[in-house]
Amino acid sequence: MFPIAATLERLTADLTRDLSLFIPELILCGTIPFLLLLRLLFSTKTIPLAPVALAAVGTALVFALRTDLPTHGGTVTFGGMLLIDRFGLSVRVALLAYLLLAIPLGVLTKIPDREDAADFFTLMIGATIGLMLMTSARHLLMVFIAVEMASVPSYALAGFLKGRRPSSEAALKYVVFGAAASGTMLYGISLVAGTFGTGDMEEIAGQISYSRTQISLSAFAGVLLIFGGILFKLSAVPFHFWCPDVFTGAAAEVGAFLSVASKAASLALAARLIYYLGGTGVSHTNALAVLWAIIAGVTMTWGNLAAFGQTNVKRMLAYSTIAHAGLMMMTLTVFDYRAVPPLVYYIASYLCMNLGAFAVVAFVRNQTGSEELDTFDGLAKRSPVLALSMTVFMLSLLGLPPLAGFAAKFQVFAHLFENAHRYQHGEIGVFSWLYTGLLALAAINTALSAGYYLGVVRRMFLDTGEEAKAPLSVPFGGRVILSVLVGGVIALGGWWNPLTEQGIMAAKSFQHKSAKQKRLEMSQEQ
Amino acid sequence: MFEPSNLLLAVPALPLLGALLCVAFGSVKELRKWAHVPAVLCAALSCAAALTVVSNIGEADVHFPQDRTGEPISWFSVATATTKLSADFGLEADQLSGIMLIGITFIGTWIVVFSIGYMHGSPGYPRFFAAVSLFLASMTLLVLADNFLLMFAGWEGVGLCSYLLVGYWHDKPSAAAAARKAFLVTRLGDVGLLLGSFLLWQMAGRNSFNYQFIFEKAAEMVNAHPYLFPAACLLVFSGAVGKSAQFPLYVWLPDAMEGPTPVSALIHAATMVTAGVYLLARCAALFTLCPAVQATVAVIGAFTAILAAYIALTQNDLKRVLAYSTVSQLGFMFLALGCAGPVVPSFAVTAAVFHLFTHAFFKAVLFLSAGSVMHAMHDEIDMRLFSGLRKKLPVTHLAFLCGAAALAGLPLLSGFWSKDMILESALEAGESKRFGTLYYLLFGVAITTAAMTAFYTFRAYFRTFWGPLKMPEGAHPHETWVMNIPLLVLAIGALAVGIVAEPFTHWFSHFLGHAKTLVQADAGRVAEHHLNWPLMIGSGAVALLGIGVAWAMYAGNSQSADNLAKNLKTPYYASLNKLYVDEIYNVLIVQPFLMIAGFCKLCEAIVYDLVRLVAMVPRFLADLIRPLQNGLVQFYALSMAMGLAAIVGYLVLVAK
Amino acid sequence: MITISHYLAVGAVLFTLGLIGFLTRRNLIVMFLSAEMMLQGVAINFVAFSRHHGNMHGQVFTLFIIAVAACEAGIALALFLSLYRKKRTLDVSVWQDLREAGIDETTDAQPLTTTPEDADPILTKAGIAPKRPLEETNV
Repeated sequence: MFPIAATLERLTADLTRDLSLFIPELILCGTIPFLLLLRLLFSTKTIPLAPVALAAVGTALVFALRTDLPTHGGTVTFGGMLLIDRFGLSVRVALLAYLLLAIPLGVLTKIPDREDAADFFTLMIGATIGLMLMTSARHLLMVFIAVEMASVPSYALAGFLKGRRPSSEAALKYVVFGAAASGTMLYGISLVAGTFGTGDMEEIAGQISYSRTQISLSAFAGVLLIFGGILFKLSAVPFHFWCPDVFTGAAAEVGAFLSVASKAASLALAARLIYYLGGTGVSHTNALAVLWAIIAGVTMTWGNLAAFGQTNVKRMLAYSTIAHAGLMMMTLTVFDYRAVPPLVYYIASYLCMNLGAFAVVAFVRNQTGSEELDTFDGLAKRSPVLALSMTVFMLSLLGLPPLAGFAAKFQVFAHLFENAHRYQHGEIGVFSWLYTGLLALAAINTALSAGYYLGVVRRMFLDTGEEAKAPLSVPFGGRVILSVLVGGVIALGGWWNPLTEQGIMAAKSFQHKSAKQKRLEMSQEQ
Repeated sequence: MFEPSNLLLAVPALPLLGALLCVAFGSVKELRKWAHVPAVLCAALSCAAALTVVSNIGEADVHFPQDRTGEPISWFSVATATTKLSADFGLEADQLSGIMLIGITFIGTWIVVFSIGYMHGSPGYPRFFAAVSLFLASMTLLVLADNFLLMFAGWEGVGLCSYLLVGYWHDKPSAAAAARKAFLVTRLGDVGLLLGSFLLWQMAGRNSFNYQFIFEKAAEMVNAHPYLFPAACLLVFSGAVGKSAQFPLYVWLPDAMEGPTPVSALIHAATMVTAGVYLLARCAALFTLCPAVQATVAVIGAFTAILAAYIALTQNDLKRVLAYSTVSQLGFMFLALGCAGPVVPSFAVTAAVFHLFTHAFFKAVLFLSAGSVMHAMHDEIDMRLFSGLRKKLPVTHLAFLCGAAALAGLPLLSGFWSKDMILESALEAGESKRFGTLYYLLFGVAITTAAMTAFYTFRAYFRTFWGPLKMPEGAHPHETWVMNIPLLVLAIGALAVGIVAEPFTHWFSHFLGHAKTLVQADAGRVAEHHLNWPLMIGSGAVALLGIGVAWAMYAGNSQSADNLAKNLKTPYYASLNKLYVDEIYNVLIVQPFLMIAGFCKLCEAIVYDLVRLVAMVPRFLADLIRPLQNGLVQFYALSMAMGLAAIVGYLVLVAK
Repeated sequence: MITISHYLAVGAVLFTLGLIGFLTRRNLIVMFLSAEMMLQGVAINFVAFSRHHGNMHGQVFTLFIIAVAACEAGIALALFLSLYRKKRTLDVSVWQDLREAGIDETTDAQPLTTTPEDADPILTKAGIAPKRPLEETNV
């Protein structure tokens, strides 16, 4: 990796191409100092920052959509640091789309005031750059840097409501645990990179395949520690403790960011880590798969159980996030290219429905000043728009057809079911039972989650509360955002094909690799 | 655009549009009191369209879609290799539906006009007009449909509107109960109708619900299924029994008087309740093939007629007298329908439809007059509380007199002619070989009923408008032009429509006789039209007798009536208490059902508790894990570290 | 002879000490310092591996670790300062308001001593607009 002359030459030769693939991130990087400078040089009264940020994100999204990539595999850029492929790209597009919706939402719900706007957008965009790097990291160094780039602004975002104690406490909990988790992950990275003598995950994967039998204990421990760090980001049990507290304390908009964007990128990173470090056919592969399956099942169940009896909407949504993280992790229990379409679909659906739910919470909070579930009593009378959209989001989170949540869940279940079927006659038939069990658990969980999702709906439509409450108004822009999200939920629920095709294309970047690895193994046998 | 086929579509479509507009008006506060405008306009336009359509019947083929070779508009369709379950949105106006259309739209329009005055200031004003418009749309759809399924859609539509309008004052418990009763009781019959339709569809080769298609196969069907076919007819008849309030399902109609009086006039006298008569007339080609079924129809009709007339004798509620009278007159129509077969069908069916037509006019005017009285008497309708109103409400008195005279069958008035035709049918049917004696018996019943009809009608008339002036407190007798004009228009109709349409010109029977279903039912027989003078004189005398008795008993003071009631205690109280039919039903049907329902409720409670018990489990588990989230940073840190240590330790040290 | 194992052992000890400190200390700053110590253990690992493999990868990792640790420390200390201003103590266990509803507060038998009011230095305010209209925030 280090500049002996030939490497440097290759690096500069590919620089133009690499940079062209990196344009979305570059635009966002440029936006950050630009926003800060704007605030410094002009009065914020004359220059509204939100449109600038929005324009930058929009441009980045356009460039991301126009990225030219090979259909199979991806393009290795920056001397092996990043891998730009269709899988990473689809998650990056989702992240940018999220920003495109979240920035106007933040403006409408007035989370940043006029002075804060630059900070807020800077933090959001900065964290998003980190998340985007997470989706395309190919080198362990990049994994570490990306996770940190995403985390550090998130700590600040969690405490963004300055002067509010819960917000500060949320930031405290996030930053303390985050630091410890990144230390742990880094220790794992040091063990893995040290054992294999390189941080390049492709090379590591190759070495794991070559070893064919076992990797050293220290390397395996390192792998597990790295997964520990990722599980922390995913708020999987037992690393979920920070999640409900942070969500409760932070603003709903920040909660949405942590729950949607951060989870999406972490899952993408987890997929890559499993793919590279999990190895294929090596002894620790199965151990990892079982571990992953158990954690996914426990996380899902834990989240759904704990969501019962919550009185705070954001806290309830936090547990719901934990449960959904478990569900999404289920796709990765058997990681091959087939896991990608359901994962991508889930991420896109989750973006629409969870951002929507948090947006409704934010609008309700803005007018009532409360985020307790009681506030939703009789919401249907106070604001039919909010109540109806919340109903759509809740039903979608629950997974009722014909909404996006159903489509996503269905694909995850189908993926698991296929695998249960596929492993039935193999040498590891026990996996068939594992997946069937996971499937049954997921079904029970769906029933469990009905308890609290429908509870919200019931509150909005049936419980009226004692005193007559004033109607709530939603700003026009808010209506637009909500209708976009509701439209997204309904469209994704009714019209699967386009996104599934994207997912299949994304899957091809992995499919190609496995073929390459097969060739590797074959050559070794000869 | 103004071609008959398009106008045909406009007949149901306009009131539907009116209903939507009424709803729209109702949602704007300023427009609420103008909600009658779209209803009146659309009803009037629909009436005009209907008249145009009817004037074209016989000349042009009035059919929608017009082009017969063109594909009909499919409503829905499920087809397999051997079965085709499909329904088309096909409308067709023949002579029978034409006559129904005139009655519905013409009377409907005037009743809507009357409602403007009657419903003025009532809460839910737009709701009323929306429901009435929707009713007109459904009813016209019912009579225009060219297949059983579309007809059934209209059939259910009118049932729904009836439910909505009977329960119009929904905060009044009795109105809500009456609405429920009306809906549920007619539902019993509806199930039969649906089953019957599907049986016919099945026997006709599982192909189409089209009337014409099924009628053409009637002869084959009756040969192939000698028992199933009459069963299907009986099922269809059960639908008619429910909707047209025949014994044993008539109990809902008197209760339905809880609705606003214009509704009683429109739905429960002039139009909806005649849907059963229309259905049987429409299916004459089927029914004439089953003499036993026809005898059943006739018996049920005659029995209902005399039963209801007997109850009507002593009722004190003006509207209830009229309601029982409606039931009784509908029984007359069914009697006539039941005679088709032994008598030339086109004659008997014409008699029924003609009576339907005239009855619509005079019963509408009677109800509207009753409504006018009620309006003036501060919503009081008990005849014991008022009398001698003829000076206070002159127009109402005049209209009521016209209607009552027509209903009583006073010679030369419309009711006289139509009732005469029915009696003649029954008499003629008595000459047939099968069931001949039965039909003679029914004739006797009918003529008795005619006398009773004259009596109770004029009893109501004398008690309301004659005698000393008496009014309940708070009454302020007044009449407004918006209510008077419809009264007078319909009163003229009640007087004249009979003599104009039938007795000397036979216009009505000639017109109706060309309806395809009747032509087919006739099977070549020709109806003879002649004036049966002895019968006419006889029935006229019977009517006059009834009126005379009523005059003697009620015109002055009602002392003699009270004496009579004292002397004939048992029959009097039996009649006053409606022959205890409601009570009998209560014991025989309602109580057992309630017991079953109670049992089901018990079962449900057990299941519900079980489900709740299961639902307790996650809550319990949640309570176990929630305390872990205690907010302490160091506890969290320790838990995470231990979790990580457990995972790494187990996998590295043990599993490896 | 000092082999790579020795270096790794030192790294592991540092990491573990950091972890133990993180779990046991209650002072926010000490907790965070412990977390930083974990990172230093990792840094020793990387440097040792770098030497072992004879390439520079580990060194680069170490540079990045130091930079990132500085970032984290910056944001964490800024946060701790604001936390301290609110409760006048660095005791981490006073921050337990965010917890499940209906769970009692965990009371502390031996609370850390609180510092008196005036011990807090008044810092100059950063940014350009010191007077921020608070009412525009709806939260």
